[in-house]
Amino acid sequence: MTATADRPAPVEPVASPGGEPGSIVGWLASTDHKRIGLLTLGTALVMMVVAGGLALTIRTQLAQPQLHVLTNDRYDQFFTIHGSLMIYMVMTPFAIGMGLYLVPLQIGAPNVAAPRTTMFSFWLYVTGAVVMLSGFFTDSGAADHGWYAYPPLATGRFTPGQGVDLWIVGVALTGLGMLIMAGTVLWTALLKRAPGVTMLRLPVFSWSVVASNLMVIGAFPSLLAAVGILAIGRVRPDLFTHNAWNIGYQDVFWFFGHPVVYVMFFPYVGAIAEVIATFAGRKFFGYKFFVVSQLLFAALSMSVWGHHMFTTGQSSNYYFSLTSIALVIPAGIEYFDLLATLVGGRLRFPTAMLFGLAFIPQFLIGGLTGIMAGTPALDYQIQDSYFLVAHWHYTLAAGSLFGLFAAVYFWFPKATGRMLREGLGKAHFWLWFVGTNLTFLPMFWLGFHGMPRRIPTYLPADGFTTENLISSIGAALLGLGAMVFIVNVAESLGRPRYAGADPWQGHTLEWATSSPPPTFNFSARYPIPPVHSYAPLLDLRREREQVRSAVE
Amino acid sequence: MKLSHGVVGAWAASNLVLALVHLAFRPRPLPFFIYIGGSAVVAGFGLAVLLAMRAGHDGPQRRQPRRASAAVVAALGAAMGLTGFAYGWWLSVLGVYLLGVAAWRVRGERLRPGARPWPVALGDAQPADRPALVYHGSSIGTAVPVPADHPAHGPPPPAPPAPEPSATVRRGILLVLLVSAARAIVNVLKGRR
Ligand code: HEM
Ligand SMILES: [Cu+2]
Repeated sequence: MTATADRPAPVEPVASPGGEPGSIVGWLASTDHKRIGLLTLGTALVMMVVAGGLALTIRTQLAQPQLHVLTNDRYDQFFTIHGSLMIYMVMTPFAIGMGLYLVPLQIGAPNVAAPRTTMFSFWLYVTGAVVMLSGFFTDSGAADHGWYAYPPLATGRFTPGQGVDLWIVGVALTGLGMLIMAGTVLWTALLKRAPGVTMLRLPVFSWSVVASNLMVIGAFPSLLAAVGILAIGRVRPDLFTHNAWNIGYQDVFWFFGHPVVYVMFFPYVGAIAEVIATFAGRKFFGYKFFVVSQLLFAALSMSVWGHHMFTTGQSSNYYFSLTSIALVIPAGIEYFDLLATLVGGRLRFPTAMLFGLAFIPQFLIGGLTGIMAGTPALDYQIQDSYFLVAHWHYTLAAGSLFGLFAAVYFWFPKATGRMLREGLGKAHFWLWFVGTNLTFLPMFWLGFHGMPRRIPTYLPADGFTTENLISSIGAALLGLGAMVFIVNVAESLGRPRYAGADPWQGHTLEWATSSPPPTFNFSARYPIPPVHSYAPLLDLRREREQVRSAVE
Repeated sequence: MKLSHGVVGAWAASNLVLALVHLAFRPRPLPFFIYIGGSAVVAGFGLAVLLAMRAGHDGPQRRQPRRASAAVVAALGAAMGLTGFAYGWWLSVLGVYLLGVAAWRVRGERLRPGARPWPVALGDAQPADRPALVYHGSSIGTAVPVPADHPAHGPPPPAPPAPEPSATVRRGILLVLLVSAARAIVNVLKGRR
């Protein structure tokens, strides 16, 4: 670097924390929240490919009656690891990782609080995923007790072998990692905001991260306790000859298990809120209502876990049914805000917006059938049937996953400085829109006709054939769409089309800095603009328009 | 700023209320105490936020660690330690060694006190001196400058003052300005954007 009187040139010789910026060490031991965030998001996407591959194999097996693609044991392992990966290793880490990448940018902070602790948590997550998957390489195969590992099935007596042990260790590592990561991000949002960014000027996405990370802090210790109980049961299976411990495990597990469902939901709704507000070109409608209802929603969702235990007959069904159905109120407010933002906006429809819009009706299907499942009288009917499988896939796959991709298409240019191809993006969207509904809609009918979940095959006489075939064809479309997405990413990295700082005319601070942002997010060259609301860049743009029209 | 711990506190409190409502439904003791426990953990977090604020630890953090290799080693150690549960205690012992290495590495990862990261112009703070640790673009690709008309650069500079016009012209201009400003406002209201 030569000393000149001028300002530094835009691209300077580099010397960075922990080695060369592009080097492996520079990434793997980085203290930059953007890198740790991208590592987390990237790992989650890789895990999604693995979990999706397992699901496609399951769907192949079920396409026709009496197929034998997988042995029965393998089938059990596949759906267990598919569900476990999707929940512990994909949707949850991606939700928390988005917060890690975006919150410091949105609040004008140079970095996450405690970056080394955050890197520690990332590595706990990665090793947890590896340990869980390594179960496939043991003699007895991977865990096959379902993603919630009920005892006594999951004890050493009924499921011997190392698969379950490795599952327990993997979940413990990842669970701890996510607890810590959510903690540092929440700490950042609460304490490390730039001057002028008050709590009531936090962007909608950041608020959704606050609400969801509060749930993580309240609920994830319970997951660690649950797998702890399970571990003791592996060593001493007699523990679970007592009802108190069996049902106790269910309580401790679901005290985590329900809130995590909303951890896999809130940040995606927050992302969609930003996407919709941006592409409607107006401020998000009903900001304060949204904030309050998110917090209420989060608090309430800590109190509904017993609805997973209605049919045990050992839970306070009235209480849990009451709280579960009360969830409709905050959810309704959020829906109203999303729709009201759209009405009267000047809409644009890039891929991110399409994914965001499709989320709205699809999640509604998941939510409404959730109310059905939250009604004990109905739940006795549909419990453990494909109706339930359809329900949660509408919330998670047709809902949150669409939110995930809305976020990916929206923030990819910010994170990499390159645009994704719109044409390929739209192909991906339509394949997924059709594929998702083809895959999961028939499952409602299967459930009504009595197809139980977790069965490796069925007979022609059962009458499940047509729906299963349609469902499997849909799954193939999903696989195809995923490939289009991978091609899109490869294409845009290989033959870049550079994105400016603000390709979408965003509303929040991350769009004020370069793409990708400099080390500490904002610099003399990319300063933090004045913040007077939760959409500071929109304010500035309007101010400028007004000045202009007044001058003309 | 007050809101920070208030949010956490209010949230923990509403959980407490919900837990108490549960009592009316005669729960078994375990679910009730799990809920109280979960709320207590959150309340503890809120308390930590409150204490940190009292101690003046809020606001942007300037001093940053330069690398996180100890964290990586520590996580690998923890993973090995726990995996001993599946493969035997000898693996756990190896994990403890790794934790030792991490403890040794952790020293010196933090920048010296007084060192500041390269220009972070926050609020009215002056940018720091010469860049010490700097790279542009923290991820794939290189940084692209903000275009000149981007809002990040603030509103465009006001038009240069015109030579002193006569009083009537001035009044005319004022009128035009007022009318166009009013029109702009009406437009904004109409468009409700
Ligand atoms: C995108 C394509 C997906 C397909 C084709 C798919 C398909 C399936 C199938 C066929 C089953 C097995 C049903 C059974 O035999 O009982 C299953 C189970 C499950 N899936 Fe998915 N799924 C997809 C995405 C997701 C996502 C995004 C999540 C969310 C986090 C998810 C979570 C689960 C869970 C928790 C189970 C239950 C595992 C268990 O029974 O323990 N899936 N899925
Ligand atoms: Cu639930």
